[in-house]
Amino acid sequence: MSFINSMITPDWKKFIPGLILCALFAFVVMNIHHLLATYQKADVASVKIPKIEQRIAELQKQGASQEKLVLLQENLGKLNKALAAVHGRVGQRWKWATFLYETCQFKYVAMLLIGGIIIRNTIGIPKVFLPGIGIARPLIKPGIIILGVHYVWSDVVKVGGTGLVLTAFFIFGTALTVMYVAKRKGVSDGLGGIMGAGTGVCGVSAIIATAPVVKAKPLEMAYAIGTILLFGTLMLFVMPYLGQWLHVSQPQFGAWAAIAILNTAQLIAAAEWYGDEARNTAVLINAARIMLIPFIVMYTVWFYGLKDVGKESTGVWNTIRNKFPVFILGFFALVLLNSLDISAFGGPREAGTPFWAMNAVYKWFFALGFAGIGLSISIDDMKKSGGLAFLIGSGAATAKMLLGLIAVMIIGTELLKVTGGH
Amino acid sequence: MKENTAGCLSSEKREDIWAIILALLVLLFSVFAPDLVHDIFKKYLFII
Repeated sequence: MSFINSMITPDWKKFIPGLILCALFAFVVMNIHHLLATYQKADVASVKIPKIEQRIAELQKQGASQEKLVLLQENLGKLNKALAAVHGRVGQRWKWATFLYETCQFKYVAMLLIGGIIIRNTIGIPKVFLPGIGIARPLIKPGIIILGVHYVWSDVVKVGGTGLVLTAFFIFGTALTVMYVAKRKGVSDGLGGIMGAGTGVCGVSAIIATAPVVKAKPLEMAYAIGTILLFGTLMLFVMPYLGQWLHVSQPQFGAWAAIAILNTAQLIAAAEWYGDEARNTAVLINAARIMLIPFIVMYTVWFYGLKDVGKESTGVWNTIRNKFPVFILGFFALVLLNSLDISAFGGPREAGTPFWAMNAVYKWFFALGFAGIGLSISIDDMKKSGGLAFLIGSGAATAKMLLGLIAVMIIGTELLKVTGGH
Repeated sequence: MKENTAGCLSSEKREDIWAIILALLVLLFSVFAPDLVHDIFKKYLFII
């Protein structure tokens, strides 16, 4: 009974208006995204169909293998279906949809984030909605758990292992640099400690986890969180375009974003924006990196030599237990189920199976979470990022982003690509 | 004070456990009615 009580806050009703607002916003945007995607696919189909028909005719004349022809005919079937979805005919064009969806990457992630920021900072959000908007952001977590059906253990070992080594190097390197420079420049242990942990790993979660250890003041926490969110927001909008410009492959982008973008929700948003393969890699590396949070807390304790801090809260086992992100166990449980290849669960691409059905749901959780992020980004809060600590924190985060790009370019695509098994 | 706080979960932990509960519910529904779950989230929720 006490567990159930601890799961529900007594003032839960205050979250309802904001949650409804996020749900409505997500619903409208997902429908616009769906409309754009449908017309963009039809536009592509309209151009490709005559070419494929011509190719089939050529291959038939040359007496090509049946296998090749079947593949082309399957592709033709899909394209005809895409064209039929808008009741279009070959030759008809919907260039506006291709321009918005492909060229501008105007997908549900961008619409929710940019639209949310515009709404929040122009029309404004009445106070009654704010608690619910805040609680919508963590709805990304069930989406991440459900994404577990996209992976098998070989992916976890290959991509997760590479990602773990990569992120561990960057996390502890950045944290050490920020803490060292902050200490040298006379920034307080509280602000230096949480900024180091925050720019090293997972932003806000790490700041919240480290704050009690370094006894950071609420204002220092606001500075550090403001810095992390400001940098994350900038990267969220810059990186997908930078990645495209530099021809970074999707798996490489997923790994790069996992190194550079500190906040889980912003990372998933940027990677989802870039593409499915980028998102798959980013989610897996994120799962690996957030497991490092307890260790960054212990690292901060070691760096600042906080031996006098209450033993109860900083013991190794207690730190791991208290700071471990439990939801990630759900993600790994689904990876395990998918790896066991149990026919009753099927796979994300096997129609009519439970995992196929689950695969249809995760985007809606993401949409709710992204609505929460967009609507909660306030320019006024961003201004709270604090002076010298902001310069050190954002300087280290920029350096991490650039070095991360070099690292993923050296590693290449193959080692970072998620196969997903069946 | 200690006794009162011992049973309380931090908001982070509460979020994590809710995430697992929601994912389990989705799994449960997907096991019993995969087509319905798929159609709701891939078809019925898109009205335009």
